[in-house]
Amino acid sequence: MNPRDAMETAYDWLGASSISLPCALDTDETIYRSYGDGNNFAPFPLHVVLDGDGVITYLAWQYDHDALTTALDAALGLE
Amino acid sequence: MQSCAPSLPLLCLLGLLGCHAPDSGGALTPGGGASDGGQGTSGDSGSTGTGTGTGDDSGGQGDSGGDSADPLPLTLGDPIARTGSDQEGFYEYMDVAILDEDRALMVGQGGFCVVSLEDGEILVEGDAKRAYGVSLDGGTAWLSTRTHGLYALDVSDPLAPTEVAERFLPDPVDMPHHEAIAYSEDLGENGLIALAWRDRGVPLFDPDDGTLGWIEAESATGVALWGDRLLVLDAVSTESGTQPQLVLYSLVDLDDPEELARVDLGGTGRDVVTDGTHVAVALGGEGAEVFTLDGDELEFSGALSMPGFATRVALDGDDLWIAAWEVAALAWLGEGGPVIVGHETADQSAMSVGARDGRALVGDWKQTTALQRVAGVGGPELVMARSVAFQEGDTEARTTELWNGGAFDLSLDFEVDEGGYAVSQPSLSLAPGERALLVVEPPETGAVDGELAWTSDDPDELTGHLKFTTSTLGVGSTHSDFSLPVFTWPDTQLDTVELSDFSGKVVFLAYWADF
Repeated sequence: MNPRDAMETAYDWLGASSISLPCALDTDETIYRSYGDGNNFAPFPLHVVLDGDGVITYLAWQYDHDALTTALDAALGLE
Repeated sequence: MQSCAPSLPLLCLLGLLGCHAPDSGGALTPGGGASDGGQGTSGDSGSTGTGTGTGDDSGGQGDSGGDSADPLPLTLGDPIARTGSDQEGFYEYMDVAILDEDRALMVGQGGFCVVSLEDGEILVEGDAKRAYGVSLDGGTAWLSTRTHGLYALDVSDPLAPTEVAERFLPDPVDMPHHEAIAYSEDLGENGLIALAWRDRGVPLFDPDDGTLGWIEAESATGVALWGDRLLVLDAVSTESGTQPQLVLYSLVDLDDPEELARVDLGGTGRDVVTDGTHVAVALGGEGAEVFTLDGDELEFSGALSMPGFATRVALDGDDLWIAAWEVAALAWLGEGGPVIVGHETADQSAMSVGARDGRALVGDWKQTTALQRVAGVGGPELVMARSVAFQEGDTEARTTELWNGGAFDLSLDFEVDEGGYAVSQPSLSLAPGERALLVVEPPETGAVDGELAWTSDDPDELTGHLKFTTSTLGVGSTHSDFSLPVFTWPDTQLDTVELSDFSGKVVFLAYWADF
């Protein structure tokens, strides 16, 4: 998938991958780039957790299971 | 540490109030258990004996000033010179095949291009259907893609590549997820193509007649062919996780491939190449490992470490080039090796590399970078990030590491920008191999986009700029609202969602990519 890819391509890819989560297409990377380096290479995956007020409580450019789980638990008050 | 290259602007909206976090990243980071995101790899660069840059007996390494008493070119200092760069609309060059002594074919997410090895100039460009790997079959370039199966480009005239429609091989299963491709002219009636296809294993094709066989694998991410020998990068399940392995097969009997050797690897298997003698494997954050192919055996030669994330390797005689995101590294595999002898900092992200006759062409995310092995150039090598990221308005300092990757003392001087950014060590000197942490102070009024000029005595990087970029969002800031198209497979209805729709609820945004 690329910024120039069509929604249909994303749809087909999700189907072929058996991913049934609701997915949004950040078509021009505007939102993704707002978190970090807008001019240079920036990696995937990116994970962001927002609390009920829309405040970012966690932001990481790599998958860290423990850190992400802790952040989600904290946001959900499950600690 | 960077974890994956950018590609997919998809994000999932999950975890509303009361929802729990997913129990693994599998659904959000396609590639399943691949902790690195599973970016594609390829094993063809210099691996197939079909003119893809395996070097030749005449040397061509440009370092022949040394004699047998001093086999390590390390003593020459920085052995890499930049000879040019070019940019165009395509990006994410995933693989490189050397066409001839002057030109290479680069393929990637957005297309293909024919590039000058001398200076990196893009000579021709075209559509490549999201190719992830390329391997040469004489005047035909076989491209493995993520969207269009396998197809061929006629590159007999390198300046006029044309798609060969009748040689198009549609995806033989149901979902293209090719990671790598290799070709051997020594097998089958018309040669043989091997694809690394993750959990589908390694299909073997006759380019004219279709499937010849299939080798099972748990997660094949790299293949290389040499004569009747096949190398497969796999990752097998163990009680403690997954174990990357390099597997050597004999394809003498294509109906019954014989496993000859299997060795454990460190890191994450990303790419494998061979020239029939050397075998090199890119292993992500663990660097690279080198083996000697000796008949039916693989003999470990040594491990190589470098900054960044080793994702591609290319052999050129006794030289090994490694694309490792942060740097392009050069290793010497001859007497005294394997040993890293030089690095060149990537302007963006070194994602692929091909090499021939002392020249290397690096796919540097949105640009090409041409490098050359040079003889007798003594000097330091500056290895430093090109940018430091801040949050907009931030007043907290950030650090970035730099080091001297050459064999001579390095001097580095930053400009002084009153009222702007400042570094903790405006002038510093580093001995060979010495590292330093540079503390960067944003302006007192808060971080904004900016840069500081620097000068060094690195022969091929005498001047440059350390850029400071700012993000508008970070931990503690209120997320700006957005409105995006949303769909849920298999529903075809397209909805629009606004972040503010979830006011009062916990929201989890996962941006991911289909590597």
